[in-house]
Amino acid sequence: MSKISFKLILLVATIGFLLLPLAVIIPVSFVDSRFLQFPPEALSLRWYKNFFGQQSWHNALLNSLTLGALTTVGSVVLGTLASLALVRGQFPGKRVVWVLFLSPIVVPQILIAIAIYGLYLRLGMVGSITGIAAAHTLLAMPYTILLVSEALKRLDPDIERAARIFGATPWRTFWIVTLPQLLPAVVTSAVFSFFVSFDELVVTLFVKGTMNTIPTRVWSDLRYEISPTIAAVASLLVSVTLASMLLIEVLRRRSAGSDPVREN
Amino acid sequence: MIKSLSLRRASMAIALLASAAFFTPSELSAKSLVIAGSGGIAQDAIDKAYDEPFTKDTGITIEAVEPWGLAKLRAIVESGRAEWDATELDGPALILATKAGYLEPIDWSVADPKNILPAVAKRPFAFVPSVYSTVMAYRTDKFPKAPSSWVDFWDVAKFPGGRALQNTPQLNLEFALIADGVPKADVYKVLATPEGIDRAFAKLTKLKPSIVKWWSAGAEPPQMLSSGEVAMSTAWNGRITNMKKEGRPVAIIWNGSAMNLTYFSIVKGTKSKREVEQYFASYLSPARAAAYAKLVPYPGFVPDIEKHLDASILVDLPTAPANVAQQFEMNDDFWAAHLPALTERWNGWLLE
Amino acid sequence: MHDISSLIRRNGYVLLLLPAVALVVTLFVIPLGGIVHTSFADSAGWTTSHFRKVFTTPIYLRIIWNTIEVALLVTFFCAIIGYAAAYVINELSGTRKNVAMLLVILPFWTSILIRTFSWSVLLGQEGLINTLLVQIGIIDQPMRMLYNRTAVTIAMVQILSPIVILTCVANMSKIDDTLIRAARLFGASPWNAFRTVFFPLSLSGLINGSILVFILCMGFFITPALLGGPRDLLIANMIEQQIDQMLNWGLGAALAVIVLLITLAAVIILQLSTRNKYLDEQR
Repeated sequence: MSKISFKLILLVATIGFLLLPLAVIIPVSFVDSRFLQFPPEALSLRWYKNFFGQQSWHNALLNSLTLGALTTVGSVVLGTLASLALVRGQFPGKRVVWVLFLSPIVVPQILIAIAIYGLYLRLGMVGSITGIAAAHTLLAMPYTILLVSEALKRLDPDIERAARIFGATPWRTFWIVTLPQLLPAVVTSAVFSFFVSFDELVVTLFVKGTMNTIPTRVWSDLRYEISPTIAAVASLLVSVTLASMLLIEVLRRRSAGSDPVREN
Repeated sequence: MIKSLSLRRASMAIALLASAAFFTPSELSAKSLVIAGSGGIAQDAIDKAYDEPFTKDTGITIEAVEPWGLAKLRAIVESGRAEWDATELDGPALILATKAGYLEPIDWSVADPKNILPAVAKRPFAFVPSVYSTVMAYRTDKFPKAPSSWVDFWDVAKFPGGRALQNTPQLNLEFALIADGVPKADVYKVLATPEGIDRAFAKLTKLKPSIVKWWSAGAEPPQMLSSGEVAMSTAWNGRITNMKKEGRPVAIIWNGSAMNLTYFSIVKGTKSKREVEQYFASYLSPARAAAYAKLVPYPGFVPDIEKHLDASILVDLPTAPANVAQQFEMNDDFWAAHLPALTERWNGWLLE
Repeated sequence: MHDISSLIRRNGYVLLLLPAVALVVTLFVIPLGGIVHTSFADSAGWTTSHFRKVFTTPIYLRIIWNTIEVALLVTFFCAIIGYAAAYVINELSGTRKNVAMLLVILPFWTSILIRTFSWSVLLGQEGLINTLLVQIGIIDQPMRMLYNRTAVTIAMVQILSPIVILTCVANMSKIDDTLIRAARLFGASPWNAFRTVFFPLSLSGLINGSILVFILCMGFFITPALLGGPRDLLIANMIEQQIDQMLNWGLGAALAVIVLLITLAAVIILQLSTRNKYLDEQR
């Protein structure tokens, strides 16, 4: 019993530590001053009004979410395919390919930024959302490859072989046997990929053209004056996530409640 | 039947051609200029004061991109695709970019047809749209007697509390020499000698233990002053003025502060050189310059701007005569020549 | 077994590789090759002067060493905190596990820039933590917690430890707990069952997470610049300075090539050293 509570304390402490910045950001979003003032001296909703009233902030948020979604799809699909090849295939130079795939997150981003910028200038792709998403995919794919190939290595190939022997096509085998077992790794890499894109600054600064994302907007504010609007945006995103998770949980409970056998 | 059909086709084609002929000129005149700047709230002010009226007058729209940077400028010029038509630059960057051949010379007969700008704002490769100052700022509630000079900034016994300076040798060497007794007119004469540079570093070494933070982003000093992390810091003047307006206990000391010029330059390879020059010319309207200075206290050198501004705003401008007299102007040539070597020394000195 | 079907299968796998390789080659290898080339070039032609400059200037060596130090420190804390938290989360049941994972991911919605800024508010002289500590009476005077390595480490651990948690939970959830039960049945103590069965099986997740954290630390530059003192400037700050402020692409690229080599070496050492010990036993 004492052991369980020790574990709980550990977990609560860790999560508390991870959430600590939110304990500042949420109150700060309600300040009535032009600063990130903590604790706030006077409260107001002016930064929320500012966010809802300013097209440039909506665009930045929309761009960030779009890029995140595109990057997630690109990184998960390309990365999973590549992992299959890396783990199951046999071909010369596998190590080299492996290092090649990992290197985009090892090379300092300023260099990648300049390199891609030079390329996009020539192709006329600066400011194109596909171009930025491709650059983000380059940065996110290593995570997918690391996580998924790790999971693949630990899969029992006999199950797949069994499915094949019983007449399943390679594709069907992949969908009904391999993928479900890879799901935790695939979901984790999707989360990673989304947030790699959502928080990417350096490369985006170079290739974004006239558009803005949330991080590039904050960056340009940082040069002169940080506006508490960003705290309002972060608080909104956090509460929307919490609310939707709560909703899913309630729905799940309700369906689980009608089927008491499944609940243990 | 066939005939009528082809007739109809022919007439449609003619209509299309006619409409094309009709629309093409207006398409051409709806030009847009891409201008790289710093972004943030300074850009919001530029939009309101300069860009919107300019578009109304000329039909040319302005697209602001940010941030400007030398690495980007180089990539643009080397690729031969002018993503930008014009860019903001600071002093040393202007000199580096000019030397590297990344800029177009400005035709001042277009950019300043009435010849009203002072020479300081008209460079062969740059126009000076605004001026800001790197000033000394302090918390008025932390000291019984107000500090008044760099000597006081260095005097941690008389003015106890944390200090912050920008993480660059630029201007800090100058401030150190002034604190060491060099008159501000002679600062660059002293810095021109190796002994002078040693002297500046030696003076900085004395203050080093009291430096809480070597700041790098412009938003940092106001935040540190406001949270009480430091009692005195260098800062850009505009933000401190805004803090004062919000009722924060902070003040600016103009004595020995440095005036920095911001530059606008035309990027090599642009197809809209003339339009950029027209855009620069639009900054010469005193009403627009005054509207900008009201939003951000970073005015340019447009004459007669004071006629459009209240005394309460004029006092806080770096170009107010009383403030100009107390400041010195950063020597861009010195820094363009010495920035790499001095930054290396600075980085090493910080690690000592 | 070199029959035709296995040949096709092999080539089929290589085909799966193509889209990813195409992306990496066009957006990374070719353009970056040009930049790496500049680390060996000056106006006269081929040169090693940029590399010689790095290795003969003590500052650069010091900063590279600082970077490695910070990266190791942050990786160490992330590994401990992340593994422990993942272990507890993995033992939770469905709903609770989901909630815990959600809370781990939640801070990601706030950009690193803003999280860094909020740490400066939390750790300041008049900040939340100092105020609390003084009021409880643990300290009389506010401590200086900002603008030093402690602040940089705390913030970087907060930003990066979810990576270890996520990789470890993904990995642990695949571990068959009948193995541990079996070990217990055969008389192993809980600690021994953990040490000999669970830990070796979960090690690969921990290693992957730690490698990712280490790699990301080597490239961090915003957090050290905003929260650190002069000794916490990292190599990425230097590269940025050389390239964007001084147009010195040769030196910047040379520094980057060195970072790349160090990181790859570290990753390979870590993989090799742990592979021998546990992963081979597994097979």
